[in-house]
Amino acid sequence: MLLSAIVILPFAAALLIPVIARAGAGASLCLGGLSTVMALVALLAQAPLVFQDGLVVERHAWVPKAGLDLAFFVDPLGLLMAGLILVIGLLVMIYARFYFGPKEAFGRFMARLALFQGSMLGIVIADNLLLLVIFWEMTSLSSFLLIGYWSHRADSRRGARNALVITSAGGLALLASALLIGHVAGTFQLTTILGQPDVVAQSALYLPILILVLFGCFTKSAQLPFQFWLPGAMAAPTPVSAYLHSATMVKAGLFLMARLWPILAGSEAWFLIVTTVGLLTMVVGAWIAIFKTDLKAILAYSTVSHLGMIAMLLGLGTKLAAVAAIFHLLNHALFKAALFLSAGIVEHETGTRDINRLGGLWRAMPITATLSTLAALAMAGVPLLNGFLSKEMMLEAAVHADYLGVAWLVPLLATVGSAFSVLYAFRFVGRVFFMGSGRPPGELAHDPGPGLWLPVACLIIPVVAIGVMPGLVAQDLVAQAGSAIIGEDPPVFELAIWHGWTQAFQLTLVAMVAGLLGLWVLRWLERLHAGLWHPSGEQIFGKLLDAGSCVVAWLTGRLQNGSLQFYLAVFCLTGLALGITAFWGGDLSAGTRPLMPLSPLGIIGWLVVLAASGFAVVAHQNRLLALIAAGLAGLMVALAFVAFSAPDLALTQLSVEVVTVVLLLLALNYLPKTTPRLRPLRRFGVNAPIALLAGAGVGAALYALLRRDVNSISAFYTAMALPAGGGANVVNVILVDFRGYDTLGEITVLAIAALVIYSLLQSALRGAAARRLTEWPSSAQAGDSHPLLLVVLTRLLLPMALLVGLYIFLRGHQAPGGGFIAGLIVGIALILQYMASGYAWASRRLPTDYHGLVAVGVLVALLTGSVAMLVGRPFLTGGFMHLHLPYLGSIELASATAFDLGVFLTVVGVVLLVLAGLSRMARLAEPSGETGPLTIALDRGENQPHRRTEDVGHAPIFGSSFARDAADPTAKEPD
Amino acid sequence: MSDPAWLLTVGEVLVSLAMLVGASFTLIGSIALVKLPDLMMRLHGPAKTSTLGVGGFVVAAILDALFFQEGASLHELLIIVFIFMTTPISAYMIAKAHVFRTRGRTVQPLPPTGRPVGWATMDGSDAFRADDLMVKDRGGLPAAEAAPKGVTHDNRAASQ
Repeated sequence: MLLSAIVILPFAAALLIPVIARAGAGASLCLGGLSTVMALVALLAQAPLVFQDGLVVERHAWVPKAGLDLAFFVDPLGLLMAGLILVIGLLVMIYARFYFGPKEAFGRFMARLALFQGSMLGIVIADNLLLLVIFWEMTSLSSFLLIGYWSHRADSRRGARNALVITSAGGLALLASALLIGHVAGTFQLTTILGQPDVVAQSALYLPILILVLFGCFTKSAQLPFQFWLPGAMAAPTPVSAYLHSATMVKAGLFLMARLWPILAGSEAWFLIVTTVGLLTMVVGAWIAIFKTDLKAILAYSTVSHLGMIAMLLGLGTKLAAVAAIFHLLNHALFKAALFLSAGIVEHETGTRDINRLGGLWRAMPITATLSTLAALAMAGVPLLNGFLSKEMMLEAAVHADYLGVAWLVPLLATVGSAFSVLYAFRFVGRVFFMGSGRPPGELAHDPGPGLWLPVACLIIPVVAIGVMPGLVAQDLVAQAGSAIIGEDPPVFELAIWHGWTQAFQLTLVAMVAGLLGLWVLRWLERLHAGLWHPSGEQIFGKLLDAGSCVVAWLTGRLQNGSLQFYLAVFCLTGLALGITAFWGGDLSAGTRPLMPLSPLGIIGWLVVLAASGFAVVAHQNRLLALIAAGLAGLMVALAFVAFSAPDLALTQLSVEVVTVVLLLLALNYLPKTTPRLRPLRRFGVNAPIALLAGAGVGAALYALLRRDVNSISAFYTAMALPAGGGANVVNVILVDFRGYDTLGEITVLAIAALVIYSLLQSALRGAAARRLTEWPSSAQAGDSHPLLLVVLTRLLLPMALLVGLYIFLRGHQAPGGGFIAGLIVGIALILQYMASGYAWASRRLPTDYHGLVAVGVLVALLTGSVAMLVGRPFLTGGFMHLHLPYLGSIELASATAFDLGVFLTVVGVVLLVLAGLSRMARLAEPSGETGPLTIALDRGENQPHRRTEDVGHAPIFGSSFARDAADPTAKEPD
Repeated sequence: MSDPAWLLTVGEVLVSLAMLVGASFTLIGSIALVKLPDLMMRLHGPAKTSTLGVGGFVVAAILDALFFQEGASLHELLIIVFIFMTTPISAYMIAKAHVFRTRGRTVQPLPPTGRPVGWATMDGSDAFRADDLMVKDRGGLPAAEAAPKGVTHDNRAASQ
């Protein structure tokens, strides 16, 4: 339980923080910090076990059929990474609390940070490759949210987008590789896979797996040529950069390479790819970092360089190099996070990050200067700080590397990279804190409060501690983590400041001296750099993206050319082709079931449907006529349902028909009354045969089906409805019980459709569409849009209709009816009120949030289904009991009734929501109100002609106050 | 059946009578629909058919159930109630549409309403441009007649 708690705690915090965010930044920080500390305690509680046994595992089944388990394990490597994530996370949270101004939405930031933290923890302790990929993608998503935190800034948005595209592309590659590994190894369980390293290494799929994994890791860890997203991500707030882009997320790629090291490393391909890319990234990143003037850009490129160095170490494939890699990963996380946080302090105090405008800050900010200098010296690899030790180890590993028979290449490039890092580290602190003095931004600056510098100090303490007493502080941890990477005991190594006059030490000295000399000739180097070609990865990527969009737009334009005829033709032809193939292999005979006798009424109904459909085809240009014809056909279909004893279907069809026709009429009100004339018969020769063939095909298929005794599941439903579902109405039992899952899906789709309709109509209220609506030609409209007769009668009808709805709803389980039909009936009753009395009048008397109604409906259905899970049954298991009440008789209480209530509420909400959307449009098109069936805005000042109608017409019946209310010119629609 | 024979006879007569009433209204209504020259007149036909005609049949059905089946069923009364509610409204709406669509084109002008306000369908609409029909209609009113939008202003005056 403890292991999953480590991951769950940050997610819980991410959910809760928005709830309490209003209580202030302190509350958000407390919650985020609390979850972090608790997770850290849970993690440390495992530490003794981990160091004793090597790993702790916890497993819960999730989707066993897909091989996806909620499985976690902690080994020393995971422990180290998780510890880093939690500790640095805590420090960053505290820092951020003081970094952000009071006007920033700190709660939102904390929630996203907690989300990221949970995802990152998931990566490092997941014991299932698929789970790892899921968390991997979640880090991409949450980092997108964090980088784009200042979403009003274009560079933020661009940086966030690039990071998301690049890292999630890598995530996809990783998913593919995970599937391949699972295929090869027969399991997704990481511990098992790592236990049998040869299985993957010797499989035929090794190379594809390797390439896909490395693609994922290189994108995440900003290796060449994907490095550009990391500097772009510097648009994020500094705490984000410190946390994601130095300490944790960019290490995820390296972590995974380390994690899979036993099964992937050691081959020629691994060595060549990883070492080459790592070395190049290291040197190029460091080279670029020398010339950047933005503090965060320097740090970003130096991070790229250090990541390359760690990748190179992993790529070397020797055990010592792997140990050096994990050691440097730890050290880099510490000093780089400290550097980012210091850069944040400098920006916070001076308002700029440009080193050309900074200088001599050490007088004004002694604490920050001290801390930054220590961190930068660690980055440069100066003795007595942790960077020195891991760099020396790196050079030691590099000395023994043999790159395709060239023994000097790797040490040389490694030394060059080190020299560059010395150079930019000194340039960084020198330009900001020591050289120059008292330039304008520096004058006002002073050391910040401890809230900002204390987290930095907390990071510097281990930097110094490891640097001074490596054997005491880090030896065991690094040895254990190293053995976790290698999968066996690590080579003998000793973390010490002085190893003797080794080659590595000589190279360190060379790098140091070269770096300092580089400072001497910095101006010359800058001129050299200015003369070189600098390709911008971001621009190239942008061009690639644009080109991609062009191709996709072209393709989409081809496939979705906007012609309904074309779509229908494709649809029909596909159906025809499938149908013909099915017919071909099957039995072409007519079937054996006897035909039923023709009834005269049936023939009449059939002819009416035919005539209505034919009329709709002929008169399709007049939209109202076509709609009426379609409605007629629908009514005849309802009658057909009655004739074939399907009362549920008939009721549904009838009410759906009414609602559809009414809503369509309202919508057509704001569309041209006729469709544009199609170019006559241009494609008639093509389209007509397709249409006829499709119709004939459907007819033939129906005929063949109905002439056969199909063995369907319906017999089972009929038999089991009463004993198993507790309802005599099989249709309703199927809907709410047997196939409740389908119904849940359907009402969800319905709800989504209503929301989409509403938002689409909303877009008609803005921009060009809105202008067209306001200029809507106000055709002559009849007066008296709320005839007294209609108003009075609909008001009398309303209670009756509601009663009918209730009746239909309650009896639904036993007799024709149910939530869907009841919802439609109530919807119609309400629509009638809106039509008769006007939207403003009706909506003021039914002040309901229709969005909420829809949501409540879906939620009620969902909760009803979940109740079964509480008692240990599968989702949506139904239960029922009979209740005998005086006067009312036997009433059945079924869980299905509650489910049906959800359906009912959703349907009512959907109908009203669409109505609300349409009437908002009506208000815009006819601001004078009083012109259509829906009178909305009566905002015409004092010239209210209809006021007379209301007073004269209604006053005797409903009293004058009622009538005045009804005609209130300032009536507002409640949404 | 233990009912005396005369009761059955009375029942038969009553049911037949009701059916005849329904049938005659239906027939007359249908003839009206075919024969009458003008929509406003024709409208009466179907309206009578669906109210009185159907009503007659429903009464016959109730009586039939009362005399010859298990007992009176009142469900049919609901049919009458709803038909009596809906038919006038649809007839009214058709008439309204007709009045509005043929405005200014009819041979005969609309007769005066005999009240300070005009025809509901023609009144109260901004789009309506003080038709001569309306001006004639409000001949008795003083003031504001000359105003181009006299209709609306008059209405307000009338209501206050």
